[in-house]
Amino acid sequence: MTNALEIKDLRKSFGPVEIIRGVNLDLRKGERHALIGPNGAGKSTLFHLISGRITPTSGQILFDGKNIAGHPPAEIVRAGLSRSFQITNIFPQMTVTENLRCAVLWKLGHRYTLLRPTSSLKDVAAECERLLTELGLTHRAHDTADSLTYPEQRALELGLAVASGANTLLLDEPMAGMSHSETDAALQLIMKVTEGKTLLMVEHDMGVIFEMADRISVLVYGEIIATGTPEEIRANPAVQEAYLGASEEDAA
Amino acid sequence: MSVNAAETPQQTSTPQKSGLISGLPWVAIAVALALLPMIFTSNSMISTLNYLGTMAIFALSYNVLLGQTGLLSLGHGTFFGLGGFIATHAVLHMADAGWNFPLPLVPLIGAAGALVLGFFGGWLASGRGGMPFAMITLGLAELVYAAAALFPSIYGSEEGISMDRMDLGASFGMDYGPTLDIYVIVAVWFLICAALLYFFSKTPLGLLANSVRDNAERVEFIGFSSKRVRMLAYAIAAAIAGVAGSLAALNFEIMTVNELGAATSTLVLLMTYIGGTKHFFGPVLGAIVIGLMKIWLSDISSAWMMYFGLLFIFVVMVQPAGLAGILMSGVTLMRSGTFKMQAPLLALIGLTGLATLVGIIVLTELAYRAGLDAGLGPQMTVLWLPLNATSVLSWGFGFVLVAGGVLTMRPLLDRLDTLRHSLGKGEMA
Repeated sequence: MTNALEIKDLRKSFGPVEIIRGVNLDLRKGERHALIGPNGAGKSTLFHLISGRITPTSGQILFDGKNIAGHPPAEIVRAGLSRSFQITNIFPQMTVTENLRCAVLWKLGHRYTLLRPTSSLKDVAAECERLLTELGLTHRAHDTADSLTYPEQRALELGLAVASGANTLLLDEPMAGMSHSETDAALQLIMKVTEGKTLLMVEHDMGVIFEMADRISVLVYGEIIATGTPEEIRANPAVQEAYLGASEEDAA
Repeated sequence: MSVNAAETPQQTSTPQKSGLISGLPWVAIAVALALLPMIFTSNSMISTLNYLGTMAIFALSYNVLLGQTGLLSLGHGTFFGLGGFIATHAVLHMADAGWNFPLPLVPLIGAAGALVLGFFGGWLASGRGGMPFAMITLGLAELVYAAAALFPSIYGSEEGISMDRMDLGASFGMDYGPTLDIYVIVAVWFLICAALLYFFSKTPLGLLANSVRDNAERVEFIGFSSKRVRMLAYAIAAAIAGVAGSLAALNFEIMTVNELGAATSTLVLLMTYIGGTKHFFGPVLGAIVIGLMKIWLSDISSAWMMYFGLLFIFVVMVQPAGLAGILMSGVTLMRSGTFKMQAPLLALIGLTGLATLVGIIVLTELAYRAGLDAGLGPQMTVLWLPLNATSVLSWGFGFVLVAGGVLTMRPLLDRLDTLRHSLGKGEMA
């Protein structure tokens, strides 16, 4: 089994406080891997480290066998690893189409060109058309992103991550703040647009996690305390003690 | 030209128009540019047009940074000035060498020089946007300005560097003595620069500039470098500012260090912002209005700087979309079909606004006459009104106009709001 991503003894300190304390995590090619853990466990920090938003203090992040720890975000995306954000992070004053155009430019090789108008690039138009259909945003194509409803903005957020053409996706709470019916629709959308891709996803909704994840890793106080199939995780006494009990109380 | 601003599509693209329709505003602008010197025939009028065209190019270049990339540069005047100096020295040297280089192409040299310097400045300034960018551009501009004093052979001393634009000889059937010849150069360069910048806003790099403006961090996570986008935008803006500076040099035949100082940088910021950064031709509108205020108002009133400041405050507080925004909302109103219903209220609001404006002008002029210009005596005429700076009646008149205008405008605005609300509901039903 080859791994898309291997994290080896990753550490991150902010001043004297160590937030990520020796994380080891493997992501197999093509699997849907959920990352769970109580608030403040360091899930978002771990995502920031992998995606290059912040630099690790020590340790390795091997993506396709190459160490990407400390590389700038743009380089990591170009290598094929992209992410979405917990707090919607789109281009608010631009239209949905323009948002997606930006995100597909690099993979289609257009880069920083100023020789041709964007509207004349047929491959960009076709790819955006495809993405709009897939995301269910065709009817909002010419509306500005800040005029979208919250679920639509989340779909666009996901779309920006997918549009970059990466084969490995980190999704940070893609369903945060949604109602039950919205969550179901969002989950179906995620399953559809990430088909055949490797997925690492932070999520709090246990129902969602046990439904979609091939494997689950549990992060508590900056360490992975368990990794396994949903059944293994559910049966793991350490996990029950450290996390699941607490989260049910949270949810109540 | 102000009419054309309304016809041009907004930067945040509306659905694609066919090539023919989107070309129409450009033809209209070209026709207007050709007609202008036939309407305004006097030498001083044409000289004014030259100045306005130059400033319009300058403001358009600044909007690449402010409106399109979301960058507040406090040192854009540097590239205007450097472009002008490069053009001036190019003319002087080529004239010395006896070359017959066509004068209309001199702005190319200024642009090339500004482009190179823009890349260098952009490389230094573009690491981050926002406050750090503003501060670095301010620092670089001050640095260049201070350095100018060290090289009097390049920048001249206080009287600047002058040249004779006729020294390069005739070309394209013009000898460049008459101001009208310079108008032709300015008008053609205006069309070229506006078209280039409009094209730029439609390219992938223009799109990326917008994305950096909206959310620079996210740009990094879709594979691009915000720094690179900022640097390219900065260099492009610098090159076009270099064209504007070169044209100013050809028009005035003299460049002084003031042209690359803080006053120039501030002026272009005000023109662009007041004109409106969200519409492509907004900066042109701002350049025309502010340029005319600078030329005409400074003749009529010693308080012209005051009006300038008041206009800026008005735009910042009341109409952040600028003069172009006002025009565009006017167009939207005309098209909405409810204009007739709103017209009486709008006319009343306009009247109260006019009263307030007259009141402000009366008070401002009285204040200047009582203070700075007291030597001219208290008797004065403002807007055909006989006033006296020492008379309580005159001051009271001004206060009543302002207070009355503002107080009656408030309930009227509320009623307009209510009316629009009910009209909006009617549309939905």
